Amino acid sequence: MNLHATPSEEPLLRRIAKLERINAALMAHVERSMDQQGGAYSLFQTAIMLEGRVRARTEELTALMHSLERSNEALVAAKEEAETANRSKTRFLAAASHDLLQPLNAARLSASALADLPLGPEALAISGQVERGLQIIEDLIKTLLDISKLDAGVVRPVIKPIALPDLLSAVAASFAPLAARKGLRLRIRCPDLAVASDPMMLQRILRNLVSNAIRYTARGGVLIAARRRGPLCRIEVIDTGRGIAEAERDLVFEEFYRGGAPGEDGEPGLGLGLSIVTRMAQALDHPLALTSRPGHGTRMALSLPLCAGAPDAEIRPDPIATRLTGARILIVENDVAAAEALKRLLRNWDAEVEAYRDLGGVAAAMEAGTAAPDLLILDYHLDDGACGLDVATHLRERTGRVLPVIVTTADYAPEIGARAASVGAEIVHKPIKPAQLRSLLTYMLA
Amino acid sequence: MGQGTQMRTHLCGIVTAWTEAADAEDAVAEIAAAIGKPAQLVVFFSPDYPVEALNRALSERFPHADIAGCTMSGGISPAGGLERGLVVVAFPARGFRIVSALLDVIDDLDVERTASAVRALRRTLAPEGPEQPSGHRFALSLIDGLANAEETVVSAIAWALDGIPLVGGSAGDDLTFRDTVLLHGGAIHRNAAILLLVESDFPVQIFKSDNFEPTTTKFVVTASDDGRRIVHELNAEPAAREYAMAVGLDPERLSPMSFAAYPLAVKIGGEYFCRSIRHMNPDSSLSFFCAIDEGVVLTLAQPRDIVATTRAELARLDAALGGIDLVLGFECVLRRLDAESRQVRQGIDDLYRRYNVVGFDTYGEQYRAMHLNQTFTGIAIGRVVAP
Repeated sequence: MNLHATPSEEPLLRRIAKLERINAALMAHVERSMDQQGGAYSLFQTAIMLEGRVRARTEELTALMHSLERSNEALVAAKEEAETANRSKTRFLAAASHDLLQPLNAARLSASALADLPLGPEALAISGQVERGLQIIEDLIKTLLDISKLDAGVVRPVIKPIALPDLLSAVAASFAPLAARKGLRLRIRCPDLAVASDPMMLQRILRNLVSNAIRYTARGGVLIAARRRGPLCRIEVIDTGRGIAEAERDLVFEEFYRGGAPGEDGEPGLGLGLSIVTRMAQALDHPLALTSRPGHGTRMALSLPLCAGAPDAEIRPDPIATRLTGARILIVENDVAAAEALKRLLRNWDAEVEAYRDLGGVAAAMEAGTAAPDLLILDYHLDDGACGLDVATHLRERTGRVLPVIVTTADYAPEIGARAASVGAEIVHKPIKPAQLRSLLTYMLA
Repeated sequence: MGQGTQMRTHLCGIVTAWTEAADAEDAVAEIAAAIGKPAQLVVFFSPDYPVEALNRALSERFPHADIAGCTMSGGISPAGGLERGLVVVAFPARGFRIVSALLDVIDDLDVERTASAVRALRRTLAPEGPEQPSGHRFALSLIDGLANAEETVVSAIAWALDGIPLVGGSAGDDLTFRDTVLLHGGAIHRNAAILLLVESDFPVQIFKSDNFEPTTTKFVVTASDDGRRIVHELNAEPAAREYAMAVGLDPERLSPMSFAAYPLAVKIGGEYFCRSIRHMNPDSSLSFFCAIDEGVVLTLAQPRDIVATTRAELARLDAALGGIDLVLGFECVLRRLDAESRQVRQGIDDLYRRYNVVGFDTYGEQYRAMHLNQTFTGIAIGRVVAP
């Protein structure tokens, strides 16, 4: 073609030829780029592409890490919120339990006073049912309160040496009547061992286990057996009851879960026993194991450390009951119903009773010439934040005598116990149990 | 210490020493007097030393040290750049764990075999237990700069390093392009590469700095010899002529200085990378310091302020590490030429001094899986011992 090109066309044709070659080189390169078999240059290119991809991935990961950090912060905040909520729930439960126990106290006192009245057999039976009903409500509230305290971690076990035979005997003795009523054998097998645990909590665990065993056993019996296992002691509560099916084994430890059928004695349990047992066992760090054969029985095993030291002998004063006739008792109680119930109860025991709402009432009565009492029953929490113990202080200053004092309260706070102990006062927790109060009064006035 | 020999002890325990002594034995003796008994030596030396004599002297003076080294096109010391001489980086046993391997016949490299050798090396560094956090490990490569094989070597190495950052330099020979040499295990090697894996008690960070920007002038490689990195034609014209026309120079007078002042770059993944011309051949073709390929589009680039860009990068590292103890650096020889022709060499030397840079002027720089040109790459070691 060049042969026919005019001189003016020469550069153009040359340019076209160049561009064609450039184009061919580019096309070949593009095609090679698509090819797997790359040369050194394509290795370089691949390295950069990989570098870019690594960088993009790193940025992605960094972004992901930041977002995880953020969600982590959110989780920490949520956890704190939940913990706060949990604490306030515990406070609420404590307060609610207190408010529930107050009227319950009044109801129980009234029911007790009612039973002391001359009634027909039918009325007596009804009064007994009412008392039992109230007792169950009280147990339920206290157990709920205990569970919430255990959950909130405010219960600190006080570990001491415990003589195991004594403890097991006490537990068995309290269940002997129930077992006898159901025709069950209740036996203890316990060598002379001392264990390290919190006596109150351990007793509570064992009572719950034994109570459950008896409840779900129709024939045969319940064995409480302790044995040494290396450095540990293993306490087993073994029954010949209907057993727990595999599927139920985790459920029995949950709150308000009850076995398929009601207990053989017809009295349904609260379904809280085992859930509080597990919590206490956890708080004490005593492993609890369940083995069971449906139709044959259940074995609950608690492992706890043995103790080398000799346990203290427990001293339980056994008050002698005497009549309270003529004893002058002064009550200070801001709850009118509770004051009324207590007044009726004491009057049934032939005591002379005066009840006041607060220190002002007491002071006025003293001014008016009322005789000084023999004993004071003071509600700890009075209106407007006043404390019942102030009345004791006032009377001591006025009469120059230290009078015996019983402080009543539904509040289990340890500082109240400490305060009462510091002035030599006895504590009676609400709801007041008439028999306990009567024993205590007799003892204090003796 | 004799004339022209200096040393510096760094906080991490590394000792750097450099000399301009003319005689190989003298140079090594001077250095040995300065630095005691290190566990590992990395040496960079001028090609004008007789390499056998130098290698023998090093083995005799440092019988208990592992030695790795290569020829250079000028040295970098914490006192500034060196025209010629011997530069030594002495790693102590305390604070550094170093293993090394030689890869030979790199112009016909078996990638699988190389990768498994690198993996084996990695295992000797951490025979058991969890690996150190990534900020305390790095790999150093020294590669024969005339074997035309860096791309294959770094690809194989980086593949097996599995994330351990790699930096390194291609051995130079004062721009004579006759003989680049490596030293490893007491022997002299050519057509080879040395890989060192370093685990440090000190924080480390690799870096790469360049100083050019693209213009609108483009070339297409229309004829080339890929294996030998020779470009015969650009835009279907003899390569040297087309390049010289575009930059306004006489094609007969093209020199390394011209290639430094008017670099070529390729755009990959949105970023430009320099592809530096090594020299002009008698047939007007151009030899490169890196792989090229027919059909590649080369963009004419122009250097930016080399001192400012280098200072910015070193300052960034200084902040990131909480203070730089020293920098092991690999700087393209063309950057040095360009800095000299622009009379800013003093500014670069000031930065070497300020940040304790030690290293050499290269025929190419390795950074992660890439073989680069006309950059300053390296590893910065921080002052703070990791908690």
